[in-house]
Amino acid sequence: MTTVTTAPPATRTGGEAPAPAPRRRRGSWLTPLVIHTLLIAGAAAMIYPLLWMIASSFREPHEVFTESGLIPSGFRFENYVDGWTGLTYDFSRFYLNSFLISTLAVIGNLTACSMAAYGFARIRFRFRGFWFAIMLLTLMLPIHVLILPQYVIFQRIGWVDTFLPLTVPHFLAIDAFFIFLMVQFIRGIPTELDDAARIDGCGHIQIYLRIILPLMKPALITTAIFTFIWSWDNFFAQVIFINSPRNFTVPLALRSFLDQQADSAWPLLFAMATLALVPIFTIFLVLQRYLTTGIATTGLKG
Amino acid sequence: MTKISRRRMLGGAVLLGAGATGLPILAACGDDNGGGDGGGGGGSLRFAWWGNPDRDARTNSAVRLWSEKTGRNVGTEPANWQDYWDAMTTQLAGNNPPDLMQQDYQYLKEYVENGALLALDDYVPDPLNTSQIPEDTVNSGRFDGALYAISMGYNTFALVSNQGVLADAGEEQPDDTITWSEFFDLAVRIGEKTPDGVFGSENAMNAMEPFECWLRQRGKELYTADGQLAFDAADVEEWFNYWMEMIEAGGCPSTEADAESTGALEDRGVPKRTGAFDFHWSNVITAFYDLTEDPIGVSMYPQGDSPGSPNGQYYKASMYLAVPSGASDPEAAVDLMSALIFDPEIASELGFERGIPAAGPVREALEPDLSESERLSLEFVERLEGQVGPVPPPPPGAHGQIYEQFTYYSEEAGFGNLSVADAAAQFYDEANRLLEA
Amino acid sequence: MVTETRPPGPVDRAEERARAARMRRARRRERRPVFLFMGPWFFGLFALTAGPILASLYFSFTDYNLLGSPSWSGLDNYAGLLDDVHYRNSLRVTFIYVVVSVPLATAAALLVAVMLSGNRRGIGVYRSTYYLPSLLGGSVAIAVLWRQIFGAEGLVNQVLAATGLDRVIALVFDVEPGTSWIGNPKYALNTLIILNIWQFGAPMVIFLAGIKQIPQDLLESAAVDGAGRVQRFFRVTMPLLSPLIFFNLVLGMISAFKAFTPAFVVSGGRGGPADSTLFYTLHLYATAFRFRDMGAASAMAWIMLVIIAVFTAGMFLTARYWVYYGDQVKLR
Repeated sequence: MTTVTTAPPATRTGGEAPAPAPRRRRGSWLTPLVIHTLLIAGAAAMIYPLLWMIASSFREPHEVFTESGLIPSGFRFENYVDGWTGLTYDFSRFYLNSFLISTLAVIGNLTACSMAAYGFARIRFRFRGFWFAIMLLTLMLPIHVLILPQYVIFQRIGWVDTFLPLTVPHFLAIDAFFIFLMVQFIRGIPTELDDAARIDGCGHIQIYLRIILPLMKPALITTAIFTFIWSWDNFFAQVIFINSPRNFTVPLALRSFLDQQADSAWPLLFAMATLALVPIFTIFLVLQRYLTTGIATTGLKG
Repeated sequence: MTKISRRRMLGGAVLLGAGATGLPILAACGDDNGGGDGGGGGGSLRFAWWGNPDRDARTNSAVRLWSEKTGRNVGTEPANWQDYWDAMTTQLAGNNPPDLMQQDYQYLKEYVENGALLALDDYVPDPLNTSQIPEDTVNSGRFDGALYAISMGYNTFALVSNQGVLADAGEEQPDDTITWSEFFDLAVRIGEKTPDGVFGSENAMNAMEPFECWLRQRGKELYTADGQLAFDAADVEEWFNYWMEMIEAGGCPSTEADAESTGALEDRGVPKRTGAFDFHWSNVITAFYDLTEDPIGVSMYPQGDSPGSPNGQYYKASMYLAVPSGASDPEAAVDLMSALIFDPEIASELGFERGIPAAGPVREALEPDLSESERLSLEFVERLEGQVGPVPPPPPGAHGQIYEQFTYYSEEAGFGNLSVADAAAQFYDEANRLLEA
Repeated sequence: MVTETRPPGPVDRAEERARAARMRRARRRERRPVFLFMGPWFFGLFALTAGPILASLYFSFTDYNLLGSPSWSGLDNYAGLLDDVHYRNSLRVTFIYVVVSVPLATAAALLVAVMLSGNRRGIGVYRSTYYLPSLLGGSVAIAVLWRQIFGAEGLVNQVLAATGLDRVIALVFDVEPGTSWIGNPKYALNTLIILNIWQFGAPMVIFLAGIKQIPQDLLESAAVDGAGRVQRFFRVTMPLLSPLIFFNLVLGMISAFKAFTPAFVVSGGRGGPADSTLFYTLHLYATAFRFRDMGAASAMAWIMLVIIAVFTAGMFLTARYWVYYGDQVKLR
């Protein structure tokens, strides 16, 4: 591990430094304009498909494949109602299920992964490098071959058709992605802080709680956002472990709308998919602000 | 001290891991009844099927009727086609199957051969009154003489037409006697007389169902009774060439345009008004009907060019019900099965959605209240009674993969990566290889 | 180190023992925190992951059709893969996908993150807009959306036709105007690459988080020294972000190798047209669940693990040359 030789972090962090006093240079207005145009064009490209999906949620089934514009020819609000009530249970139930699972997954990941990351980054234990490699290895096998033995394990302990297989593993740090992410973050925190705390008599637990965790906030927020969304979208595990419609998540419910031998109810699917975006988008919007408040370190100069 | 405790921890963990490894092997040996979890104290049954919102709603109300009658709870587990088989595969391998499941002809043989399904002969004729179902259809669920699955409904090949597009091209609805060559000319004419992007027929080059019909008209089949190919590479080549020529002549969309399709019903030529004919099954007639404002016509698939050839059609069971071997309560499962297939009151909840109901009394009960599209569908199927041929032997387990190869090689030929002769030959070799494995 | 030239005497041995004892105490002090911090992970590893991993290794040497029980077949599965044209196709397709989309997506994410790292008002809206595509994830809606854009009658072709660019492209790239990008095996993979890049929101957010950690003072002092924007980016920001760039590249690569959902959803699980979108994991899934050949699927999984491990190890080895942990820049 490289020893850090820098001065402690400054009190202000953030993105690009504020520009020094603007100097009048020819073409100085061109760059921001170009950048802005590119950004807006990029943003348009980002959301065009979504706008199309929203538009299609108001269409008739046969119009979905024939109209490609952004303005639907009619506004069938019934699609939203039919979609909401069209399955065995109301979508409110599916939303609650998805929400519960994803929230628990977030809590699990935040605690277990940060602890494991701290262990890998800051605690010297025997064969640490070996276990780190094993951790990375667990990332590399696809879920499709593992899911069958896992199903057997869960079935033996009676957890099938419950939320447990989708939540408990997160409390056991199964998401090596986030362990690795947090390790990278922690390695960016100078060890002088740890040493200073140790001199003051802190043990690992104190260092973890008082120093590392607060400094890791961006990593934690990122973990929260991604865990929530990925666990929400993880339809394959949901297909395998959840059988009863009463326990269905939103993605599973959406997939019920598809059938090759009947009207697939695409507009209803789009309507529900659009609605499904709302909570996850909101969560992102709310949390991303914390990404930008930056890290306020308390005076650790010198 | 550190060393010992760590070793002990590792040792214990390895044991745990080894134990966990052993579990799937034990489970796969099927010596344990994991059904207790599913059944739950003599209470709920588990019934799984694939479907869509409409079918799910109908099935749920049918099941509810049965529950009220018998006082037994049923846990229903619908899913879409793809997810259903993923879930079933996992549950059967993990020894946690539902009590009643839907089955499909292409998988039956494999499930039966591996002992995954329960034989139902003990339950005939009470409560399974199979005499109400045409004998051929009942026998399609028989293997080595024992009955393993009962069909819920049946359907047959249907050539569906969009009569609005036909009218635009100034053509008439063909009757059941049109041959493949006449169909070719018709499709090309329609393609010429309609705007760009509208064709006479869909591109069915990669579809094995019309291919099967075409083979049957020549006295062949897809598979023999002992699971070998019952056709030659030359047949495949002729079939591919037929469609390549039609693409060339403008009678159907190109391979590229066809590859773009999602396969969803709304994305097909007839509902979109981009094609006059679609090759499909009779049970989607109602769906097509709902998807377009143009009138719909139905006829048999095009007939063989040699006079006197059989029409190639047969009554196919649309889907079956079967009881997995590991079911926790087979008696109740069979009772539910018989209600869904034979009990007029309960089965009529299901309607025509799964095909023409298999049992005569159920059909009669539904007859008065049919919608126009359902009547169309029923009339078509009944019109063919007595004319249809025997049910082909059940496909071997490798059929799914062979179908994938068929699609793949038809695309290779269609995109010009391989010559038609090569594509046909390579497909044929692949298919044989898969059957041997 | 000074070489000892006299034979070890009693004092040295005592020192040795003392040092060893200190180290043992240190390790013992570390033991309890290790159990606490690493406990959940170790437990999860052995209870939930190790068993399935070993099971899958075992399956790879068996003939197992999921309905019966596995029977030993040695290396048959591995040998059989060499003959499987679809397996070879899936390797080729996945390889191209990884090599092209990962660097592009990471670069795009970095670029946009830098542009959106400021604190201007409304920047949150921009960020969320760029992140939106990732929210769609594996939604089945993408299947239709992508056709609406890349189909023969889709948006891309409409724009190209309207601007006359389709003729330019036809000349330069030898492409028919009005070609269906998603239906043509030559281009279908590109639409998936674009899909991956379109969903660069995840690495972008990680970069944003990292940029926020860069001390302002460093950037300011660099600016005072006369470094322009570009220079500041390459000399200050990038080195400080290098752990995260490394992270995004490695994980992007791993997840691109394992990519499943985009191809599954867009091609309807078939990997078409003509295997042009047959990702490795898609073929693996089909082999396991559709063709019910769990043995071959497990063999595929292990081969992929080896491939990914080799690539990852390679990246870790190069990391020494360009990744800085903790900045080595001194403030004046």
